[in-house]
Amino acid sequence: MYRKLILPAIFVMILMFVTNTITVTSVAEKGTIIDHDIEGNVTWTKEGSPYIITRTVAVRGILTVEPGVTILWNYNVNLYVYGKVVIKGTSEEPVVLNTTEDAYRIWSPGFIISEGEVRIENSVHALD
Amino acid sequence: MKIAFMPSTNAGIVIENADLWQIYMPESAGRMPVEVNGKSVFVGNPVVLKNSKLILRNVFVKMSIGAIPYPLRDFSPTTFTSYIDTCYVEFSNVTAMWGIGFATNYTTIKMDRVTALEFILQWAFDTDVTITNSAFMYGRGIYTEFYEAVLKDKVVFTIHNTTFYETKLDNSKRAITVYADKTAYFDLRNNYWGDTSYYIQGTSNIEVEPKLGEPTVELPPEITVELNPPYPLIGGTVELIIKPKLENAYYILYYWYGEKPLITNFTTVGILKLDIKEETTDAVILIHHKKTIIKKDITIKAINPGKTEAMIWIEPEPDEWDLIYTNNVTIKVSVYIPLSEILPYINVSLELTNTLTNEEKIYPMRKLCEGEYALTITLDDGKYSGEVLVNYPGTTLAREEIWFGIEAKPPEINASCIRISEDEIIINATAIDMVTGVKRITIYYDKEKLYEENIGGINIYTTVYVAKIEGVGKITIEAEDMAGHIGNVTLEIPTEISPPPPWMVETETTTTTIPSEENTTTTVIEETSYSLSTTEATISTQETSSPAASLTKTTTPELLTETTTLGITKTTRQPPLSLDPITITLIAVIVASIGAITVFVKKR
Repeated sequence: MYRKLILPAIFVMILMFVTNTITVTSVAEKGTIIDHDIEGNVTWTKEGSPYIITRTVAVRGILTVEPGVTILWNYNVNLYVYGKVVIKGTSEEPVVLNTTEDAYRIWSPGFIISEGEVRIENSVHALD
Repeated sequence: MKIAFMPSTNAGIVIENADLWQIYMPESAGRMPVEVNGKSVFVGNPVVLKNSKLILRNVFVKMSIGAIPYPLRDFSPTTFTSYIDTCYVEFSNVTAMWGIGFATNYTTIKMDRVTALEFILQWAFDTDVTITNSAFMYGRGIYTEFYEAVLKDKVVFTIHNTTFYETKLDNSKRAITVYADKTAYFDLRNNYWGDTSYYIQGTSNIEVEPKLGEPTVELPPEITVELNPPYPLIGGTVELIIKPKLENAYYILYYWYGEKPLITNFTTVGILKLDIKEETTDAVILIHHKKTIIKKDITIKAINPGKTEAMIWIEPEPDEWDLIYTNNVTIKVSVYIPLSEILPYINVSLELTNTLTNEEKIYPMRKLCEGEYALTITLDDGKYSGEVLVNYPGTTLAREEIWFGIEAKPPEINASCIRISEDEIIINATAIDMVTGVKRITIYYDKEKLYEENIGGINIYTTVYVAKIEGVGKITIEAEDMAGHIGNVTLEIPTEISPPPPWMVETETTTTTIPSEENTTTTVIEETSYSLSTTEATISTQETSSPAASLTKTTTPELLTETTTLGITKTTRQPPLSLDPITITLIAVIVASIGAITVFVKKR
């Protein structure tokens, strides 16, 4: 009887391992939920905007944010930067940095940098 | 939210062309530890930024750069700031509406075209600072507790072409306060200090002269802030209108409920809005204008709508059910408000209802002086109820009920006189006084009193029959109300004989069951009507066909009737229950028939 259970159990364990290590990007109803670490070269585009950071995540590669993107932080979550974050807005299409409506706190943090670099160009913070 | 840089090492931070809320770095551990169980505990992170570069170019920050918890309220710069170690800090064309705050070690700071309320360099070891073409206004200026070289031979603090204006530290007009040692060199030449001073304690080397005669930026104008409404309501909103209008200005409103400051809104228009939640709100308006900052402190006192009824006393005159004997009424109201500053902004109105007609009107009251209001209006006689309203922009603060009566006119008299025979007349008179009521009604025949009735009532109706009136003359009906007003109506006694009024010649058939007896019944009714006496016996005995003849039997002209209440109907009496033989026979037949039918049915 136990032998019959071994195979499914192994399958479930493999599945759990895979889901924990592979980056899965879930698309919110409008925008993109960021609840995973960012590895390699990742670009956040206007089409995927807004990007909602729902838990503290690490940027180990290079995260490039294109013009016109909105990034929203949930309350009390951070972006650990071990690699590089380049936020490249333009004067016509700035990048907007804000908190989610539910988590509005003017004291919530944003970037924690370790051996990393954050470059922000043409960005605005919006209160509302 | 702000852009926050939490403890970071080997970080490169470059922000260009950004409009941000705050560039936040948490407070670092203080130099004074907290003793806990014999151990020294330093509160905060030891270092926020280490071996890093922080470069800001063309950045506007609505609050602060670094960590300055409450710079707008606290004149004592003992709050711990962000400790940066071995860093390169370069600001170019940066505005921090609150200010900039660091503590540094082995760091180079370069600032060009920086505008801020203040720059708190809480302590600086082995740090070179160069500030050029900048402006520090309305804040604490530049403050450093310790400025000295430890590892280096010397440190240089250079400020050139910079304007200091209205900077205050410990309530003194100081632009710079530094505690430094002999390794620190201060080059403070070519700056505009205005009426501020600098204070550098220690053995440092300092060069100050020459001073610039003119500021390097255009000094801001004096501004005033008007509140609309001047005393808002809790739960309401107040507009803060900044005057004069400034070109290309940027306004931010900060306010406090409790300890932490909040920002409510920012705008390029000189009108800010604030939701009021408490009776006192401290707020600060910062205006960025032509590379300078204007700071305006405001304390907003609000009115608690839930307390105003208890706070405001209204004393109207007339008060409860006062009687006024003129139609030109002056109503006075005194309003007492502890928060006397709002008196200029209140207005008082009177909602008045004539309770007789239900007509309602609102009258604004004119202001006599602070707290005194009056209203002169012309009102008809009547009873009035209303409310005195103390109005404030957006609400009614308090109200007080008021009742009074206007009794200026005598009773209203409606009268008629008809002649029903050569020497008989009938006078009908109605006197009405809706306010105090009719006290008396008197009828005169050529100044000779015929009849007087003293019964109080709102509406008095009297019918008087007078016999033995010869020729013509005048009948005067006089009525007096409870307030003593006397009115009268004079009638000419007509010469023509009129038919008797309907109530005297009642033709209505009251018995309809036996049409064949209509004439008999009518006769009875006529007799009843003519007699106007008080007893049925009298009625039933009248057999004459002449109403006049029957009336002549009552020979006292002064007292023919006791009818004093409304309507003729009271004088119309039902025929007495005097059954003639035919009726009795008929009833007997009907009863017998019913009995026979009943017996028949039972037998069946």
